[in-house]
Amino acid sequence: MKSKVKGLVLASAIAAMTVSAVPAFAGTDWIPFSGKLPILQSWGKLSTDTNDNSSLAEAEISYVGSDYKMNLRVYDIDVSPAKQVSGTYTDADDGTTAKFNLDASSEGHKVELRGQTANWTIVQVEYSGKFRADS
Amino acid sequence: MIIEIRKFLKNNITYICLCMLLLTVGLAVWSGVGMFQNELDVTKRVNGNFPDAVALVSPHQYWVGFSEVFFSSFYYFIFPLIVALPVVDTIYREKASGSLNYQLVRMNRRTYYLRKFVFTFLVSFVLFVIPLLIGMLLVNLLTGTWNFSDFTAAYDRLVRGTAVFGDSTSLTHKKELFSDLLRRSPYLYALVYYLIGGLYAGAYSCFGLSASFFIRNRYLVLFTPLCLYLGCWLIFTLLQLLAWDPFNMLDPRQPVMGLRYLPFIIDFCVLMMLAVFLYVLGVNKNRDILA
Repeated sequence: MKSKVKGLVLASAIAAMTVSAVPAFAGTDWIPFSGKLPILQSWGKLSTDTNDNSSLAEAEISYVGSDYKMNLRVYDIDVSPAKQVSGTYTDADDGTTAKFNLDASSEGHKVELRGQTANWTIVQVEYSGKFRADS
Repeated sequence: MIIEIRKFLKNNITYICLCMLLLTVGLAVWSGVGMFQNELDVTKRVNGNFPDAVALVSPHQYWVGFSEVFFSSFYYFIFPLIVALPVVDTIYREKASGSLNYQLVRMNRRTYYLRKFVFTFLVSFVLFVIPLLIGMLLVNLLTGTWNFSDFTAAYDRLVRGTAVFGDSTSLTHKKELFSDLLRRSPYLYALVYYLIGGLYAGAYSCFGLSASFFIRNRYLVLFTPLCLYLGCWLIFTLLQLLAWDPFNMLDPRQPVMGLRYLPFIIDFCVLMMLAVFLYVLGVNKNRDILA
């Protein structure tokens, strides 16, 4: 009985030390953005943040004008020319949450979320949302 | 019909239009292949541990009409003008030169006009579809990919919800319309969109041919199909009926919300009925000249 209790205490102590040793990333603050996308599917700059660690970058799109969709990408802007460091999230619309794995080379760099309309438009499409490089 | 084909082949504008279409396709292919390589490299770097994510980045997404490449979108912007140029003003020119009367003496009036209408539709259909198929072959040739079974398998898992991805960028490949075709083969999916586009190209050219009875300016006749196409784009945008606009509907990327199958049919039927109605009106209007 005594050895059982000792074993439990030892196991609890090891578990507590292990959990406390694991770093807990709280995520960076959201950076809101809004504006109008260029026509003819040009890429527009939406928001910038610093990629501090290798967690997923997130973009929440709260509004895209009318029934339009938009495409999203993340670029490393600390290199010249700016380098694409994520896959392309296509067809984002109202309420979309896009999560991006970023290229390891962009860690510690400033990254920029860019967006374009999913097709040519004759009007500038409004958008709004928020972005953070670390979730 | 052989006479129409001969006139079409002797017309220099036919070859100019064909060159313009092929040049646009060639530039779209060149840019698209570069873009595909870049996207694949990035995906392998960030999601290389997830085979489904890598498989979903496929060369077929850079066929003409399937990508954000400028010339790919430009093809879908300019096609009503270019596919109509060789044929839309044939009645106008034959009336102006007097050969119309000569031909009507030698053949039945109904046969002549029916042949003109059908030929215009078919030529515009072919001029729209053939360069796109050539573009498809060129992309496959340049990327060395002809078999898309990896993509269809990954797409099938995406649809079933069993695919494993590193982030949400791969989820966006799922299409609302014709998704079952994409599960079988991107070729089927592309063919359906190209054929629908060809039907609309024929319809726009026939509308232009019908309008040529009422328009006295040759250049206005040539631009009528494009004006109708862009006019619809403007009107549907202002009315916020994006899913009903052919400019968005014909795009294989399905770039707007609310796309459904019914507008494809309704828009095409309305366009063809309008073209036929104007055509019959125009033929009857010119009856006294031809008697």
